[in-house]
Amino acid sequence: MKPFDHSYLKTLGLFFTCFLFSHTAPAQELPATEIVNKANELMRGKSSYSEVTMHIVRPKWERTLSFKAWSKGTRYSMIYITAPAKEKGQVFLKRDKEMWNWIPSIGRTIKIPPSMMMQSWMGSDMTNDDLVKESSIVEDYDHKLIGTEELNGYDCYKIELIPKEEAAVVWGKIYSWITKKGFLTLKNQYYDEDGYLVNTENLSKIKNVGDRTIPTYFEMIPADKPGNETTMEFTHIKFNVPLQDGFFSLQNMKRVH
Amino acid sequence: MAKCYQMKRSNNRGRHGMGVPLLVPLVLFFIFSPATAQTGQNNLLFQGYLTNMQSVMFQHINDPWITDNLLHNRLQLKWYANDHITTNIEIRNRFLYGKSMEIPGYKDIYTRDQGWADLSFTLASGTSYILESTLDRAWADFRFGNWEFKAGRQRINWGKTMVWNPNDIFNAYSFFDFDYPEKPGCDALRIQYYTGASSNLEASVKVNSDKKITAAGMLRVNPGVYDLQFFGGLLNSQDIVAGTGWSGNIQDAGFSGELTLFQPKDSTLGKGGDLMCSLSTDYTFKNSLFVQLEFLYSSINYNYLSFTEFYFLPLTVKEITFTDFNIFGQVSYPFTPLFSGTFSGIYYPSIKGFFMGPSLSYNIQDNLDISFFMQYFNGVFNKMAGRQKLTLAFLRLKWSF
Repeated sequence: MKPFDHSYLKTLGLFFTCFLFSHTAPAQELPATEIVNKANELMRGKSSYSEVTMHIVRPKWERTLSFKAWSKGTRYSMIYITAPAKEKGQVFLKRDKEMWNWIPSIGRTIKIPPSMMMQSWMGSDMTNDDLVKESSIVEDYDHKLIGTEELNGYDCYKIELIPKEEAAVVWGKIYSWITKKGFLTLKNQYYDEDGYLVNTENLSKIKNVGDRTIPTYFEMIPADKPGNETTMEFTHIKFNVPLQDGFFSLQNMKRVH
Repeated sequence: MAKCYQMKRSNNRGRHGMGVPLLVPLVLFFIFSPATAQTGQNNLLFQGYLTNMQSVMFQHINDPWITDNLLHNRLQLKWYANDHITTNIEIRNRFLYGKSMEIPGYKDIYTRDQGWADLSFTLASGTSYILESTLDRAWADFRFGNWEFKAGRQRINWGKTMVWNPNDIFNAYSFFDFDYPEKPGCDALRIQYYTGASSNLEASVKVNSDKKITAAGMLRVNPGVYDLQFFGGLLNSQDIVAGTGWSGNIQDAGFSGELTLFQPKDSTLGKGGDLMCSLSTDYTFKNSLFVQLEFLYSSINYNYLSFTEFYFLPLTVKEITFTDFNIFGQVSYPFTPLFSGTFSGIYYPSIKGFFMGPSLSYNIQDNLDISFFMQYFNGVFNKMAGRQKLTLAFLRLKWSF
């Protein structure tokens, strides 16, 4: 896989993990870190249920993928595919570092080996590993407030994120625009280690989803690949839903829908 | 699709017309259920596919070709009645026309229902065609806490490896029958008790069309990162079986295996026990190249005379191969997420033979796929007949809904 593509995957994984599996770092005194932390907190809860439509656009093909996802903390998650039709009903279960795939048509649960974790998940830009790993934009980066800007009518902090030396992160630098009011992330720019812009991520469709107001539409545009785009829309999302640990079991995997 | 020149197995089954009585309450259940009428948000799942597949088979390219065309439709209706009850029916409709219909006995095999109830219905049949409808799933599932009861026609899949599954004693199938991934169901009662998130106890019993009983108990555990299973029971009222299976990994590569022992129940036959064992490993490279190796050993003494004799659906797990040593390799690669190619091969040292199966698949639209498959066999089944060759090719268009 080309380095660019790999980075791209990581970014997608990043915004996905923000929602489902990220964990927090100890609060620090730095205001910039506090801002990033609040923005990150907003996108997660003790548990969540979401319905997502992912659209992958390439110059020669497109693919749409829809799924429902349940998660609890960083340890457990379950994903039920609702589209495309030929994959509908498949379920992915993650418990700690282990992952299983239930395929109802053949009545079999397949344990996903580590080498397959790096493979594309359902033909998307995400890997299985992206679903499982627990990286964090709070923990893995040093944050610096470099100014304020107006974006889409919102007053925003512009924050520079530089990866910590020990962090296993593919980016050289990230710029993040976070609203002063509500701590909504509206835009991220991802740069490689040579300082070139790789991806721009725009977040929009800000909605009240019940207990909070968040962007529900993510758009990822690679800088040097015209015609390429990946979007994810959270058509439904609910945080802190009551989910027992036992929900994330091989038994329940065959039952969720 | 022509799959058999010679019919080895008879279809001498006592038909007792169980199909309709079983079907009627199920259908009524769906039609008159108030919840169904309301189509509660996601409680009713309806899906399926429609395929058209052209196939050709020949021993030598200059021999007469056996060409067939199959229109194949699958319908699934699943109803999550409430937190405790789920019901499901799946129907397989096939309209086949072509040369294979003229092979004596072929229609009997094509329409054979291995279940206790005969749920396969020939709706129309002529010299060159057949219209067949099979209810291959019709079950109800009841869950209460950690208990789960499932009754009816269902797939009980105990396999761990990919190509050959000696542990899969309830539903035997042929690897070569790629156009039927769901595999036939069996008429069974399955009771499971979940002892943890990834462990359980199971007891299952099925009756087949010859009224032979397969019954076994299974224990599944997950110590560390391996899924392990152990089972024992009775196979087709004939053999005492015991086995174990696992799936896990060595380093980053997947590693799974199955071992099953067979001992005839009636020891007066003077026949010893048999053993089947499969080992499988797979690795996915960073560029998505997928490589798989699998090995199967069977101590069973097989007496097949040709590939075509074996090709069609095996009746029991003991017949999932036709020779003692089987070595399988496969590479598959997605050129793009929508276009992928696979090449699989099997080496059969004891018959100095091999199988090759290249295939290509292209996703035309979200729900439309076109695939090309080839199957080539070459080997010496018996010295009298000499070396045999068989080529099959398939072009399939599949619409999923």
